[in-house]
Amino acid sequence: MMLHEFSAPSPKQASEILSMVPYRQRLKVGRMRWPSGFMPAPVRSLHEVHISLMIDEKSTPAIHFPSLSVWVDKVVGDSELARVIDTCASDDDNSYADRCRELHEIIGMRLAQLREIADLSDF
Amino acid sequence: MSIDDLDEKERAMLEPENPGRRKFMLFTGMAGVAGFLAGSFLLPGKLEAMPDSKGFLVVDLNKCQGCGSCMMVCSLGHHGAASQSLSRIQIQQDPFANYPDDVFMAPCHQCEDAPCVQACPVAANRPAMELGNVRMIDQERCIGCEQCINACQFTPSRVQWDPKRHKAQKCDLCTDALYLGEYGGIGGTQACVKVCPVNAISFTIEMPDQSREDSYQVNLRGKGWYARGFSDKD
Amino acid sequence: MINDGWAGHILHLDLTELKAKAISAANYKRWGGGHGLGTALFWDYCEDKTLTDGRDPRNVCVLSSSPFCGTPVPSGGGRTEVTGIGTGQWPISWYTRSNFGGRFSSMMKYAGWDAIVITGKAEHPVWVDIRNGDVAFVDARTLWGKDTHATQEAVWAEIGMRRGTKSAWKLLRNTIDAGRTTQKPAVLCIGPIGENSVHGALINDAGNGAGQGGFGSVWGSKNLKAVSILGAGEVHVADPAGLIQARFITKEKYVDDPDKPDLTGWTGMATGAITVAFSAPPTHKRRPQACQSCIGGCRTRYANGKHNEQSCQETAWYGAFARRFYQDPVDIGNANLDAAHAAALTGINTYGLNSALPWLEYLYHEGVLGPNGKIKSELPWEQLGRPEFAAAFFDCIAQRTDIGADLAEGYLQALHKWGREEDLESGEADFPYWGMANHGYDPRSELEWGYGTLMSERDFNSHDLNNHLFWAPFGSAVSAKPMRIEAERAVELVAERLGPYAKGRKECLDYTESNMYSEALAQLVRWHLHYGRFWKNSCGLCDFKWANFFNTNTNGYWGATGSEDAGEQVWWRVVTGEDMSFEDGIERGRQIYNLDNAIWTLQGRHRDLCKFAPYIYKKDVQGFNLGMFPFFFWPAPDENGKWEYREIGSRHLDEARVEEWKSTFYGLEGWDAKTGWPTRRTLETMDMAFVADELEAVGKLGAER
Repeated sequence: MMLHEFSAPSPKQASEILSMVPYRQRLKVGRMRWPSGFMPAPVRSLHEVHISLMIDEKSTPAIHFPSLSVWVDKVVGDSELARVIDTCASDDDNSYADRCRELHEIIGMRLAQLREIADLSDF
Repeated sequence: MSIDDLDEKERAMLEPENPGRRKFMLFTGMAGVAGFLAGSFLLPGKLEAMPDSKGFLVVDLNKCQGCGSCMMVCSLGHHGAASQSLSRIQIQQDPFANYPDDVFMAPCHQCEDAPCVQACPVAANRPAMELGNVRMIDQERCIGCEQCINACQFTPSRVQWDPKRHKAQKCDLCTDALYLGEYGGIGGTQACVKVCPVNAISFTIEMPDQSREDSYQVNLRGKGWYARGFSDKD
Repeated sequence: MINDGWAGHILHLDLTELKAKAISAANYKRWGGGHGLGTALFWDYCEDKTLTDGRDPRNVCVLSSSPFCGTPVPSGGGRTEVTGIGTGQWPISWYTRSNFGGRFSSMMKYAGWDAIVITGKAEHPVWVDIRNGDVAFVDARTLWGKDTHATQEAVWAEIGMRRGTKSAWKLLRNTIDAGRTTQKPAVLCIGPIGENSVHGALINDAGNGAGQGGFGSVWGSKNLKAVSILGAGEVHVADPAGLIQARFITKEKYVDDPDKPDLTGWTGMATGAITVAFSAPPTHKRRPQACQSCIGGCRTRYANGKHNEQSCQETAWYGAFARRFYQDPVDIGNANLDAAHAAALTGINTYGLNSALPWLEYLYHEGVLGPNGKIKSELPWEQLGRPEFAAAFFDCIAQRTDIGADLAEGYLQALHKWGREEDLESGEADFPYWGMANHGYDPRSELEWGYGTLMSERDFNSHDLNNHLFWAPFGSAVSAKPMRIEAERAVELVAERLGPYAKGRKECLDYTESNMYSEALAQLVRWHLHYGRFWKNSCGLCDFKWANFFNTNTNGYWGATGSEDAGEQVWWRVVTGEDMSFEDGIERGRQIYNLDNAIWTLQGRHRDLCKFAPYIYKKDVQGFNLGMFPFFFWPAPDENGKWEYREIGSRHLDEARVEEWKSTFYGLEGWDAKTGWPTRRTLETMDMAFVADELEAVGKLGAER
């Protein structure tokens, strides 16, 4: 797995990144599962993205990585994480499933860090 | 005594009429033939010492998917028609119950001291000694008294009633499954075992513990079952 | 006794008169069973085929089995087809279909019935008790309002069947010749949603459901709460040994070993249980659960009991919302199943919710819907995702309170009443066809599904091509595993079965943008519709296992479909005794499809109504697959003819060219391209002059070319 040490934002920045974005700015992602097909599951927060990236043996995330990175950068406001997402997503040596797993780990690490910095009672 | 001592009728009784159809030996009144074949001496209507079946069906209640395929091929194999009521293995379900209590599988136990055999007044229900001692009912001899049905100690009774033919019937391990398309019985195919999509029924030559009904319930699940997402533990 | 799989009799339940009558099935055998049988019965019994609301008492609802039902035809012995005028579609509730698995159709056959025709309307709620040939109408006023599980348990109790297993043999009636059984009655029933809205499903046991079409609401409008059936009889087939042997061969040759599972999609006839759709099942303490005769059950029963048989669609509609409140995968799985359970109890068609809930949530966040919105709603929208919300939402539809008062008449009906046509332009109301929710396969990308839907009357819901040409390669692509069958070979294997219209024509399976309006695609859609109408909807072969075009268990990867040892025609022959070819079955499907179209024509169908929702044609409106997923692979050749699994997610549909394609399709079907109506010449070639006569009498016969 790629290693990245995230820089620490301010508590205010951390709180903003962790917040839920307005509904209109949700990111349209979903899950894929035979035979149901695409099940829309839009996300409005980094926390929901984290859950969305879970692979289980029965269903798969349906996430367009470039769209995710743009959303994390412009809407969520975490440019650093967006760059890490880009790097991970462009690793062609990894399967889509493995890239989801890796992103799940990376975003999980970032979430843990942000929660520690921000006011935990809100998140 | 040798086979040459048998008259034509007795000799015919020893030979199968057609593949898959075994003429059942009737010991009552044929002491000479009984003496020719290995086995115990018998009194009419009651077996002194019942020879053990050489085959048994065991089931995994936690594995059954409730598809009823076993019931369909059982009745189809014996009667040429699919019927739950004429199936010699019964699968019962309660779709609202908690797993594993939502499914019960009821195969015949081929009991060591089969009460259904003991109850038959005309020796229609007997171990077929040349066929692995499978407990089976001679349909021509059966008088439809239902005593065997009532005698079965298990619920549901492992002996079924055929209302059209007015006969009792039971699992014969496919000995007389005329429509199976292959050799049935001990040493051959049991349709329910072969058809089960999840391999929840198995044939064994080892007699399960006769003191416990649940000794016929076994674990037929392994790592592959677990890999599919189902527990392989009881 | 004719040994052909038929019981020989059809039961007519006249709810107006509370009378039951048996009619001979002899004159209906040409229609095969299932959908064909149901449609022929509808044609004969419905006095007014112009109806457009399934809640009209003159609607005729038919439950049909097939010759396969009650026999061990693999994944073909357990489905019941439901037909009649539907409810809640847009712009017209067409004559439509649904089906469900479980125990009902086999029990129907064992009771001696090939189909049950339901006409009229009872004065007060009733349920029907069928035991072999004995039929009784029973007052159901004390059952009205009960959920679907409580209803079934109450019916069992009235019949004298107790809960649990391991019960003794029981007489069907108090006579020795009536037969005995150890089984419980198979009860088909409705819940509160069906009693009072258009979204009602029919539910049997814990989770077998016929949702699409709103037939639960049809029953509700007829005051029919439940039909219980118990049979102790037999199904006679032409060649029992042949049937058993073919079944053995299927397991050995085509199905993967259940104890050494192949967890990919390449075998086609996998034994794997599908179980929960949105999230992983929360526990291993469960069993697979199957419809009668199935070679690999797709449902599950759980240790907690309440999640029993909830799988697939019922577990696809709420998971995304529930996920907001739970983080642990086990909790998400349980929440998802709780919602599925609630849906089954209330008896709602959950398909509609796939699109309806996201759309309503959108309206809430736009400020249009809510306590202060133009569309008043006091529902706790911030709790969307919790089980309490789902319960409240179902209740408001069932009781017609809050927005339920409008939603109870249909989602698109509500949309138009609220003046929200813009949502169909933008795609926020994702109902691409007939007022029905998007199934999960965007019509622009999975076009054979979209066209199949447009050229019929409901969400096509046939996974034949989708299973083989999308899901199998998808599974490999996700994990970067090699494709077991390369694109060209896969297409060859499928194309070989596309007779009589397109046998061997690989171009029918070309998913490039240039092939979206072709004659080849029209032939594929025709084949798909006809195959489905006969082999699946009329014979009862389950969509999850059939068609089986290719199968990596076999030499050469040939699938069971059309094969000499386990093909669809093999089952037909060993059950009915009729030596019909696989392609003969396709032709029968064409006849049945024509009968459907004749009914739609009488209802007011015209080609101008057969359109996708406006947003489907817009280039700037994304589908699920556009910008949501890194790849959406289907087979397609490049300019040099080299076939690969290629990204086709960005395809768009041109409305004018779709209209051209429709004309091609109608022409190939022998219909009037101006209207989409069948012509006399076409009908008479299928021995359906009686249909042409009825169309002509009302001026709706298609013009000959």
